[in-house]
Amino acid sequence: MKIYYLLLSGLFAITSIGIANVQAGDEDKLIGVWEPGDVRSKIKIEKIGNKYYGKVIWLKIPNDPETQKPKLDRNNPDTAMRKNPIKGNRILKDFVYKGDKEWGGGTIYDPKNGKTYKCVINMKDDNTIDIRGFIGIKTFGRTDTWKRTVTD
Amino acid sequence: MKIMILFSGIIFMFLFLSACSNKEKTATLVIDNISISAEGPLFEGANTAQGEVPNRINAWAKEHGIELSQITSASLKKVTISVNDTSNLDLFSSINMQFASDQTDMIQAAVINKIQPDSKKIELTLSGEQKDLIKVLKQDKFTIVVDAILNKDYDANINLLGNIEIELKY
Repeated sequence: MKIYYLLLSGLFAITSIGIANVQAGDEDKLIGVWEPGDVRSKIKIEKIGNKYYGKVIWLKIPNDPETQKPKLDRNNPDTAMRKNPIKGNRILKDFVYKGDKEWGGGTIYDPKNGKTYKCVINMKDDNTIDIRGFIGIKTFGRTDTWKRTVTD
Repeated sequence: MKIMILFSGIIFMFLFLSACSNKEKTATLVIDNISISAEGPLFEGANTAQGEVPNRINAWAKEHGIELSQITSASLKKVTISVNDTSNLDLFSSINMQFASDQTDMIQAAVINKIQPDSKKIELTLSGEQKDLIKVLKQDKFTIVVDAILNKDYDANINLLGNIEIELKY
């Protein structure tokens, strides 16, 4: 009977460690460089503390056609930020891993209109994520599919 | 009549003293010599340096004999970044400083997008987004996240020093 309990405990411990390892691996799979659906930018997602944040590291058209200088975050509601370049801007903030390949609780900033939306990220496979920005509840929003880039 | 005047006087004194005792006080919390670093080699473009700041507001409140709950607001007064090695800050074309912690939303703190040649110390323009600064300061620790655009590849570590002045009202 003792051997039975010992085996059962061992099996439970091994299974727990296995699950923990899988979950830890899934959590950080979001880290990397991603390309939004319009293929006009690249976003680097990194982990700071226990949260995930993403910044613009590349723009297909980095310069403003009018000024021929780097595109600025002109629509930002914070006036101090309007002279800041879009490249380098942190547009994904405060994502927490919720389990089952979903990261939530964060926000996404759209430099095109200067608005910030609540956001949830779902990983479809290791190289594809669905990013859904929404107002209020998830139903009212828009989803974009991002692909992991080779420049990771 | 005399009783009425005396009574009015007492009420007036009470109101006067109450008003005086509720007057908001202002003080400055200085968090200086924060080490903010990025490990090289670093490549031209968007890079990030980070520095961890342990809680300073608890000691400050104790020193001033006030409870943390008495602090009603916190706002940035001045943010500077300097280098103390041979490099210059004109390595960067822009610098964007944010505060992050596990328990609070990231706060946009300060920014600069024009850095003079040979600068060793720069003052950043303060952001308007500071409403949750007090929550960040009350954490056990928070991270200073500096997003900077490097003008060219840099084959070494970058070590910056951050100095932050915060106005506290209590």
